[in-house]
Order: sequence, then structure tokens, then C-alpha cells
Amino acid sequence: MIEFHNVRLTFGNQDIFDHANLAISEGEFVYVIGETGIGKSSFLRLLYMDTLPTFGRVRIGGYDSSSITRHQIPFLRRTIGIVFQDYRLLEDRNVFDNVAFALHVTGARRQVIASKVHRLLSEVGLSSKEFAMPDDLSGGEKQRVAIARALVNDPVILLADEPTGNLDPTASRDILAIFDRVNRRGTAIIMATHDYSLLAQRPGRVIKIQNHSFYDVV
Amino acid sequence: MSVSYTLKESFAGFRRNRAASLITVFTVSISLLLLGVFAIITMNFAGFVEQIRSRVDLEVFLDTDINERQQEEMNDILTSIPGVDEVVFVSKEDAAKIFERDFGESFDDILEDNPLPQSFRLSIREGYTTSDSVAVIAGRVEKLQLVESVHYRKQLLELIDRRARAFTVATLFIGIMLALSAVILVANTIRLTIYAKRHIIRTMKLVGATPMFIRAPFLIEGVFHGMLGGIIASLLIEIVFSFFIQPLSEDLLVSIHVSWSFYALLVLGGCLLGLLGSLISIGRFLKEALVQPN
Ligand SMILES: Nc1ncnc2c1ncn2[C@@H]1O[C@H](COP(=O)(O)OP(=O)(O)O)[C@@H](O)[C@H]1O
Ligand SMILES: [Mg+2]
Repeated sequence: MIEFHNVRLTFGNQDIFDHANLAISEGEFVYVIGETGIGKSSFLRLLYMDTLPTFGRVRIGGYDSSSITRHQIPFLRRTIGIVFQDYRLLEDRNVFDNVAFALHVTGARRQVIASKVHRLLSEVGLSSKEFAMPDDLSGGEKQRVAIARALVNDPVILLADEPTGNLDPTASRDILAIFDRVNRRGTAIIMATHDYSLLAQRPGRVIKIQNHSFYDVV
Repeated sequence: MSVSYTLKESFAGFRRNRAASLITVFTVSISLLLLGVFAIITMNFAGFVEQIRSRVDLEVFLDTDINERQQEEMNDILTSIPGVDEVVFVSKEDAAKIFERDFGESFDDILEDNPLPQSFRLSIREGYTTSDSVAVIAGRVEKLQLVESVHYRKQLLELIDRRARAFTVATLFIGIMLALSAVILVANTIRLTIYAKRHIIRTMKLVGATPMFIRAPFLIEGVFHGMLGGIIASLLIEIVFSFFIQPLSEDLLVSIHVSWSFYALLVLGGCLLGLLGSLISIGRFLKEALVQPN
């Protein structure tokens, strides 16, 4: 489902990846670890094609970085859910509209949107905050809104960039529990983190980024 | 893409950011006010020049006296010349009266006979009053039988023509500069408000929104702001003209008036300004850069 073939990624004269190869299958639960600044976020950005490899190819779903057009990128992003460390909520609208936005972009009907948003908000335990503005939420709540938004289109892959990075242990546990539930229903989870305590709470495949490439930690 | 969602988003923008909206509307109003006043002055001056032109008549003097039947024939021929509007026959007696009016002396006092020739006075149709067109008409009339000579204020027309050309070029230039600076001014104002939303726009892209989906509400919002700006500019111009200029226009001997279609054009211009402004401003933020610092 996800493949890196001989990927090279450079920013300026800085190598992030070089001759990097990787394969991730459907339904896997993957932690991506490595020091700060090593390229975890860059790895995820390669997956949602916010950046393209300097050399080699990244394949995800039916898309290939060597042949994808700008026009196709939004459609790729609808098939994967993305959760950012800094939440990236739309600050100008309430919780309901934030989650609904991901459905609006697909042209979904209003009734469908309402029922799906309500289902997802209850899934992440935020039914009572439907009309709250992002600024009035705690970090854990913001992250749960972001997760609801990422899941509302029933993605086959959920990408999360240090989703617990700014959260206290309790909030982190809640997030992990949600990911676990989602993963049991078949969605692959790929989570960049340097919070190793998560690995003990919910075991999964661990990929370490080192020397510009990927290594499975067993 | 849902139309109702896009419309709702467009108007939500107004509610979510009132200050920025007001600034945009204000900028459009000021730009259109400038353009509008300039256009009114230009148009009225052009109308004034046209009035002067239309007062230029051709005087066609005949070399022999003609009878009534010839006079009618001549009248028909003159009327059939393209560009000729009205044809009036001036008899010897009429000419004498005009002479008497203009010089305050009668022939009868000086001469036995009336030496003045018969003539026709031709007025020129609108659109044929440039010196070239009038020269063509005069040339055709001169070639007619019985015509001795044709007189009109050739130098005046030529002068007006030369000045009018310079005037047109100058106003066109100033008009284009004004319109251009209006677009730039409005685009810059809108760019500031869109810049404030750049994180939101980027998030929208990351969540799978197409550029068109993101752009549409901004464009509609821009048109709406532009329309409001156009309406405000129209109201200001109407107030200024009906309260201050029109009472003066009798003294100024020129009637300045602003038509409803002009206001409609101003509002339309506002819409266009808002549309262009948003279109120019948002492009940069929508581009899929593919490598962007976070
Ligand atoms: N757009 C960019 N331009 C230049 N350098 C970048 C860009 N994005 C990331 N980097 C650099 O790439 C390296 C890896 O960054 P990142 O993927 O964010 O690491 P991590 O997420 O593991 O902390 C860092 O040194 C960072 O400074
Ligand atoms: Mg990172």
C-alpha cells in the first residue's frame, strides 16, 4: 500500500533521505521514531505529497510521486487522514464546521455530513463541544477534533505527526485509545513520535529513521 | 462542489472578519469615487465640445438667383448628402434682415438694390462634425451646379479636432492609470486579508480541498465587497451632485447630470474590481509548491 523505492530527499544541500526503501501494508500500526530533525515530518509529507522526492519514487494507494499531477493531489489527500502536531484546525469556525470541512471538499450532501460529523464527534468524545470554537478547547480536545476531521472520510491510512507531542499523559492515552479502535476496524496508522512510552502502551511495528534511511526495530 | 456551501462560506467571511471587510469596501469606494468623478468630468467636457461642434453650420451661396422649383430641387439634393441634417433656404430678403440685425444698418439706406446672394444654411448631423467629415460635405456641395461658394468655420473645427485628439489621449491615459491603480490598491488590500488567512488556506489544501473549492468563496466575497463599494461610491457621487453641483450648474451654463446607467456601471465596476482583486491576491496562496517550510 505504501512503498518507498530508492528515495532521496534533499533540502538545499542537506540530505534527509538517501537510498531509502520501505514497504507498509494495509492495516498496519506503525510508529516512526528518530531524533528531532532527522526527517519524521518530512517522511509524512512525502506520503501526503506536500513535498516530492528529489530522486526515486513514493507510492501510496494508487498514486505514484513520479507521475502524480497537481490536480490529483487533493484527491490523494482525501483518501488519507492527516493529524498534525499543531492540530491545524480552521480557527475561524467551530468544531462541527472543522470536521464538516473535510466532507464539504468532497461535495458530500448536507444530511450525510451532519450524521457523519456527529458520529465522529461522539467517537472522539466531543459531542458536547460541537459549537465550541477551537480557541476555547484544550490541547487534547483540539487534537481529538483534528482526529475526527482526519477520520471523517473513512481513510485507509491515518498519518499522525507527533499527535501527543503537546499533550499530557492522560490526553495522550485517550488519543492512543482512539487510534487503536480505528486500527482494529482496518485503517492503517502511521504515527511519528519520540514518546517511547506509547510503544509500551500499544505495541506496533517500529520504524526508525537513521542514516537517511528506514530500519525496522524489533 | 456545493453551491449553497460556497455561498454560505462567502458570507461567513464577512461576518468572521468585519474590520478587513470594511477596509476592502472602503478601498473600493474611494477608488471608484476617484474614477467616477474623473469619468463624469471627462464626459461632460466631451459633451460640451460636441455642442460647440454641432453649432458649426455650412453656408452655401448661390451664383444666380433661383426660382421656387429650383429651390425645392436644390433642397432635395442637399438633404440627400450624407451628414447633412437640416437645410434652410435663406432668401435675399432674409439675408438682408440678417445683415441689418448684425450690422444695424439697412441696405435700403445705402443701395437701391439688394446685392446679397441667395443661400442655403446646412446644419451637420451628429457624428459628421469632425473637420474631415465637414470638409468632405463642403466639397460635395461646392461641386453642385449653381453653387458659388461654401463657407464654414474651418479653423475652429480643425482646432477643436486637434485639441480633442490630445484630450482623448490624455484622458484615456489618466483613466487607464486610475483604473490600474484602483485594481492594484484593491488587490493589495484583499491580499492583506487573505495573507491573514494563509494558515487556514494551507490547512484546507492539506485536508484535500481543490484550489477552486478554496478560491470560490474568496471570489464571491470579493465581488460582494466590490458591489458594496460601488453602491457607496454611487451614493456619495449622487449626494455631491444633487446637493452641490446641480444648484450651481445654471450659473456655470453647462448642465452636468449623472445618469442611472452610470451608477449601474459604477456598481458593476466595483464587482469587477473586487473579483480581480481577489483573483490576483489569492493565486499565490493556492499554488501547490510541493516543497514548503512548515
Ligand atoms: N521546507 C524545508 N526546507 C528546508 N529544510 C527543511 C524543510 N523542511 C524540513 N527541513 C529540514 O529537514 C530536517 C528534517 O526535518 P523534519 O522532517 O521536520 O524532522 P523531524 O520531524 O524528524 O523533527 C530538519 O533539519 C529541517 O530543518
Ligand atoms: Mg517533526
